[in-house]
Amino acid sequence: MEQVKYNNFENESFNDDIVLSIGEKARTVEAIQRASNIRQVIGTVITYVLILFAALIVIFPFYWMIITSLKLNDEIQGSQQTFFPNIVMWTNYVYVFQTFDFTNYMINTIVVGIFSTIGTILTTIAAAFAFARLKFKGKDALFAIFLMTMMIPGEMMVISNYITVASFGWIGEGQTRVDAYLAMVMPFLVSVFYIYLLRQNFKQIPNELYLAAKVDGKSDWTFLWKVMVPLAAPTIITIVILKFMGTWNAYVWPNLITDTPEFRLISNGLRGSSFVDLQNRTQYGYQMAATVLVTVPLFLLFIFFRKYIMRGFGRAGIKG
Amino acid sequence: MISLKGEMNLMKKNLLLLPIIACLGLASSCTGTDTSIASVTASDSETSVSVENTSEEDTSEVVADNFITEPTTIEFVVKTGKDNAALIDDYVAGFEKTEPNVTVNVTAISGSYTDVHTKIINGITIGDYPDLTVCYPDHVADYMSYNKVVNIQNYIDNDEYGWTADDREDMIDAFVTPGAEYSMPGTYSVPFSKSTEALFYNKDALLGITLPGVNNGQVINEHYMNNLTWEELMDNFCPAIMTYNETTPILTTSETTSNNGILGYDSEANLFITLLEQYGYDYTTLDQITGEASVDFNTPKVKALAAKFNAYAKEHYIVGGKANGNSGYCSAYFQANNILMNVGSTGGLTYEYTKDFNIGVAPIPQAAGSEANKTISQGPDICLLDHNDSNRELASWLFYKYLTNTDNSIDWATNSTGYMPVRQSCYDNEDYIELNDISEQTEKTEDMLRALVSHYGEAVSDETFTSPAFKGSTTCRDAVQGLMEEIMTFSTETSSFDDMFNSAVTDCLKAM
Amino acid sequence: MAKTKIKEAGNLFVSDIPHYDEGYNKEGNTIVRLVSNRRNKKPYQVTGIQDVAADNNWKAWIYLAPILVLIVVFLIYPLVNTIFISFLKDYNYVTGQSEGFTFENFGIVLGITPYNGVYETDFVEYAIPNTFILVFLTVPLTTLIALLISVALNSIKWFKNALQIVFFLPYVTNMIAVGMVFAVIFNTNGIINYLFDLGEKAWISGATRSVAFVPLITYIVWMGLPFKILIFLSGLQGIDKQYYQAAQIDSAPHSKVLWRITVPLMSPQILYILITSFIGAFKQYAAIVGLFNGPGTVGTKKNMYTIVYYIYDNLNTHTSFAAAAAVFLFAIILIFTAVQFQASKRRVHY
Repeated sequence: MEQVKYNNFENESFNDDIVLSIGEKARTVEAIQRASNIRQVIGTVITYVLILFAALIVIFPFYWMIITSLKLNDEIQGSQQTFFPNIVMWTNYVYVFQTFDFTNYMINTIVVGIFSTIGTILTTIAAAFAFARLKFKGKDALFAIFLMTMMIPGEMMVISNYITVASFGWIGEGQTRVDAYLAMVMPFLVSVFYIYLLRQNFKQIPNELYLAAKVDGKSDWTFLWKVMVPLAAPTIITIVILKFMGTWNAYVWPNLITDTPEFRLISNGLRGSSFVDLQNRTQYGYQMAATVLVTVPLFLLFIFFRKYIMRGFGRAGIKG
Repeated sequence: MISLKGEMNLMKKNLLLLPIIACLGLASSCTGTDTSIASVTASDSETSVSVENTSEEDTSEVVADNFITEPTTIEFVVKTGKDNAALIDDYVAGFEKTEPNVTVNVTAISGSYTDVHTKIINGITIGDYPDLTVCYPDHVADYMSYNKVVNIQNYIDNDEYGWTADDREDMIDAFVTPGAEYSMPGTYSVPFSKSTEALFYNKDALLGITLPGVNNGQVINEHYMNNLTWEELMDNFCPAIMTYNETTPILTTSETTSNNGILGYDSEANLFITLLEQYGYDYTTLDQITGEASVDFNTPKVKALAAKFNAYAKEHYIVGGKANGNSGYCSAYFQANNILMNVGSTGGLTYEYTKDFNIGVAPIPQAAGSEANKTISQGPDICLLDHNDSNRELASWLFYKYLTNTDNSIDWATNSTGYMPVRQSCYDNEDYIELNDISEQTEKTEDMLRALVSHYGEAVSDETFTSPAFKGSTTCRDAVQGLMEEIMTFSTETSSFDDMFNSAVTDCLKAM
Repeated sequence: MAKTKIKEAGNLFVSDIPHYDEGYNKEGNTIVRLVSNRRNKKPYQVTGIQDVAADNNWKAWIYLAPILVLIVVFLIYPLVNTIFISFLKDYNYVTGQSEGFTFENFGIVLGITPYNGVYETDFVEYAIPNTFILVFLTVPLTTLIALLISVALNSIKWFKNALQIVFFLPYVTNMIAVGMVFAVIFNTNGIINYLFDLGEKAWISGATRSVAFVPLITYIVWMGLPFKILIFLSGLQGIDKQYYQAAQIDSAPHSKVLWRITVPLMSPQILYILITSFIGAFKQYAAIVGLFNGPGTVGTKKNMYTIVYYIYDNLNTHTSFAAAAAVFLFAIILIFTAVQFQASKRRVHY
């Protein structure tokens, strides 16, 4: 039997996967198959190399943070920068542990974080739904105003909010724990940033679902919670993580409004310029150790929740 | 004024008790400032509750002054520091024994003194600010603009509970006088934790070598190091060292070229201000009568001086703390022997210390032909803030007096790394002398360095100077910091001196 | 079936009952619901979509009520307050007092009117140009890189999870740490100079403005990547696999798949990222401090100033100027965002 070579096989076929089972001809097909496989492999390799390169660049500061936290303070300030500490100073961590009231800050941060996050999620879902699905007079104008609040730098807001919060009696003499928590949670409960994000997501949910629900006689509320929220779950979980991280990392505002260290948050106690000695020199060793201690739990939290984000709930259900 | 009279009325009610207690109080404080050994033990009994961490229950009589008769609470704001909390708590406990009706709450603010300032200003905005706070003179000027600072003059002059003539003489003059040099007459801040600058140098490398043309051909000795002038240092000494280093290396070269040099100077702002003071040029002036301030450093003479230092920096004779991208302090370069000497704060001696070589402490270089040494005075003061409550003011004043009595001052100076005592009697105190006895210290230890610094501090305390404090003086300081950094930059991308000076002056004026 | 039943229910006006197909009626834009089997006169409820939508008119406000209260108090009031302050002369936030109304503040900030005998040139000379340069360079760059990285991350099989986590790292790294790292890398004897054999070129301290932009932009892009990657990845998760399978059948090349399928399907996310990134980039301040520890490359020179840095510098001492600058910024961002929305109307598919 003669062998027929299909040189222009690709241009004439619609799918590389079709295998012509014409006996010995299979070999030629294999050769072409192999060629396209090689191309795929090269493509993947290049992708991996680029990604790994980018990943290295991304990891490097984090690595630096960790090794700085393990260095002697003199070595950090010294003229030669080393890539690995000469002496590994675990004592930096010990000192930070001893000097700061971890449990108290942790409790404060978790309480404020949970209330903040729950409040934000509820308000964000409600507002995003209103803007994405419902029609009402002044919807566009109102959304524009919401967006406008993002256009003022935070620094200017701080003064007004500080005085507002003081007038509510939440700061100043005789500040109770509840006062401090209220002052930390309320001003940042509503985030236009996240409302906008969720609105985009809600808008992507096809209209047919909404109409189908209406046909079934479901109210808007049920539709929101039973259909839209599960569909937008990855984004909502993203918002939860980011908001919680925001509370964890919040430094400027909680520092401003708490009078006593008792009500402070974890970032406040451990970051910023807390490790400045009497000569006003920052003690970077302790500072980095404290930063690592603050950062790592957050990071672990992200890893844990990540699979929920990346899973991507049944969008496919619509088209079926 | 009115409240003070009210206070007087209250006191008249306790007419019987008061004179007795007052006399006792005065007597003990009088003897406290006496320099005899007997007086030390007498004042010991009054202040023995504080400080020396002896855990035994104090059974000796503590004489309560009882100037305050109603329960009063005052708040004292400090900056956090590693071991300071314990010290301050001790002082508070001791004070509360002498004034049983007073409770002192201490709030520690983390961060720099600027953070303390921000906290106080924010507090003033909402009406929640302390009675006493640590502060820099610039901050006090700021608080004064809101009329929140108490004029302490009346308390100082008061017969019963103020400073006596002996007290006033005991307090180191150079520290106290700036407190009365604000834009309004009166005293608005009083010294607390003072420090100054010193020249730390590498004894092992420098002493004993002979350089041609330097010191008349004799070896470099301590006397030479103690009497350096800028001219001698830069025009004579440094070139000679550079030549010497080529044959006999005494410097360790760092890869970062900006770290290498002979003299380091941590704070460029201090350098600029000190130079102007030493050469007699004006920096800023404050008219106490009108309250107006002016910026006066944009003159040809100052520019000429700047040009000189620009040349010195290019030759690597002088290395700045921040210029050319340096990390902010030259002490690390000193420790690594990239530079042979460093002008740094006396409070920062732990950063200068290294076990590798002997360190000497000398006065900073002066201007040739000047009569007296001039070194800048640093460190925070304490000011009292007005709550319209004379009881609290009096309690605050008494607390301040307690904080800075001889024993506590010694304790604060020795235990909190590098502050100088604010009273002359501290230097004459037996324990203090023993602690800082140079002959008792081992070479190359940190204790030796501390002893040296303390002796230096005693010699130099009365020669320190400050620059006027007014609204915007911090910005002026920042402006000259940047100006000096730029002057000492050895890259060629700098603007002309005229431009530099003009932009610095503009920045000052914008804030005033 | 149901229709027939009702018809045969023996109703007098049977012929009056219209027949409808249940569900969404495209021509009439109405929804038909079978409400009850027993109501003979009106077994169907026919409502127009408009009605359905209009019905919700007031309910939307219930959804928005709690949010509105908070926004008005904590976001809108400061906004209005800022605009108000910008018209006050020498406003002092501690005492809350000022010296009367004036338009001067805007003039002073722009360097037209003198203050205390000097003209404020830094704002117009450095702050505005720097801000614009940063905005127009960093946002497209970061968005593009983030898009490519997320598409790549989504397509690989091995180490997918680990790498996705790695790219989130910059978000959790402390600003000071990153500043230190960049100082080391771009140091005169650092890696960059070593790799590219540039001798002792100054990148950060002592550098000219244009040179100093390189580390600054690198820094900003680095810090901005993780958030964008996160959003893009969750957007990518939601794209139906069928589109990609169809493309595979058609042997579409990768670039075509990217630009013709992925990007349009992600256009809502991309629009969101662009809008918020531009707004954020206009407000850039922390990166300057993190990298230069001050507003310039040398001493007091403010050559790396941005608008928000100016605001921050003047916030406590000259609140009125800061407010005026904030109003400028607000106007700029507002105009820019409005233009963006207009341009995006045709390109965003929901």
